[in-house]
Amino acid sequence: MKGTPYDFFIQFHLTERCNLKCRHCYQSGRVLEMNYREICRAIDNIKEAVQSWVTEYDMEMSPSFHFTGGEPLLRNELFLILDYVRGNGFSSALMSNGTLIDGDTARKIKETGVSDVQISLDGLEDTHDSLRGKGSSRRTLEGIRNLVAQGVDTNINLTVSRVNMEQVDELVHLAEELGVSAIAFSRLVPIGRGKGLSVQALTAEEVADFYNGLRKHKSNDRVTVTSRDPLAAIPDMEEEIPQTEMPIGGCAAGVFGVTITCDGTVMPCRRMDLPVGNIQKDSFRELWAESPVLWSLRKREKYHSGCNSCRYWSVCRGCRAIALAYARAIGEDDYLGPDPQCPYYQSA
Amino acid sequence: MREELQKKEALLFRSLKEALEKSKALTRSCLA
Repeated sequence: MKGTPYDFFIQFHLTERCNLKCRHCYQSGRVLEMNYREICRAIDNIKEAVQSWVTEYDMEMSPSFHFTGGEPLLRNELFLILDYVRGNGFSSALMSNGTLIDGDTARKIKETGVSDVQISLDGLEDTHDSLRGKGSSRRTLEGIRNLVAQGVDTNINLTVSRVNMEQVDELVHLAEELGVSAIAFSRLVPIGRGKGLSVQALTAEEVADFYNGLRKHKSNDRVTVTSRDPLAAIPDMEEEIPQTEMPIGGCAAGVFGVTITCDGTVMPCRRMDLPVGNIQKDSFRELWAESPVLWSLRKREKYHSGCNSCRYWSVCRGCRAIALAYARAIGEDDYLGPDPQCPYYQSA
Repeated sequence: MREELQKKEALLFRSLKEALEKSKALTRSCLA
């Protein structure tokens, strides 16, 4: 394939153990963890699928693994796993709360060759500590400074809710001071412990205001101010949107990647508790090609109630996890309806 | 079994290629 490579990635949760107890955490308390050998076999399973896509369908691939937890640094074998992934030709990234990254750990992370480290920061000190525990802000900032000092590409991710939505300007300033490459904003998904914060989730109007507000930071040349939320890109889309029946961007769940949990469960996204198989017993190649759940996420005709007829469908689809979370709150299991926080619907 | 799998893969990757060729990386994907 010539042109845009297929940016395929696996979000791999190595553990659900964590040294923090964040109020908005989406984890559900899985206890079983694959051991190192099982994780290597899982990586082999995925490698076999990717290689077959390249050789049999001429796909130009850009595959990567994004390791997280829980707190991934609680896994003793983390550095061995990162070495194994690198040795198999995949790029990797790390997502952490940063509190366990001292100078020596930052140096070891640098040596693994990870493309970047994403650190969760949820507001200015008082706000962050109220969500993540007293003293955690200070330790997280220390971790960020240690990574930056080692020359590791470090970025901050912030879960946006009413609790912190007014702190953007100060947080961008903090990101500049820290020397990180980017600060990104994601919406709160009210699942797991995060259900308790659902009243703090943004409304569609607030989402529009928030992303409009972010636009003034676009020209910042010291730090990239961005969002991985598909909705965030909509206000800047002035070009004609290709009206395809398959996605070309937007929500990655089941289209550009999947999540694997610490016990091997494969699901479209960690925030969508819809298991489609287990990497320890299923062929990843077969799951990717045959799962009805994954297929439904890829086809416009499966979406309904407006999202399917929106001119932005091919590049957006909102957040499927938020659609599912709101549906489950009223006893339904529907993940293909409109994102209830979406302010941008326009008829195609 | 193998034939059925390849049929589904062929459909998936043909459609994805067509869609991706129309895109200019308009948006970043989200999975984090």
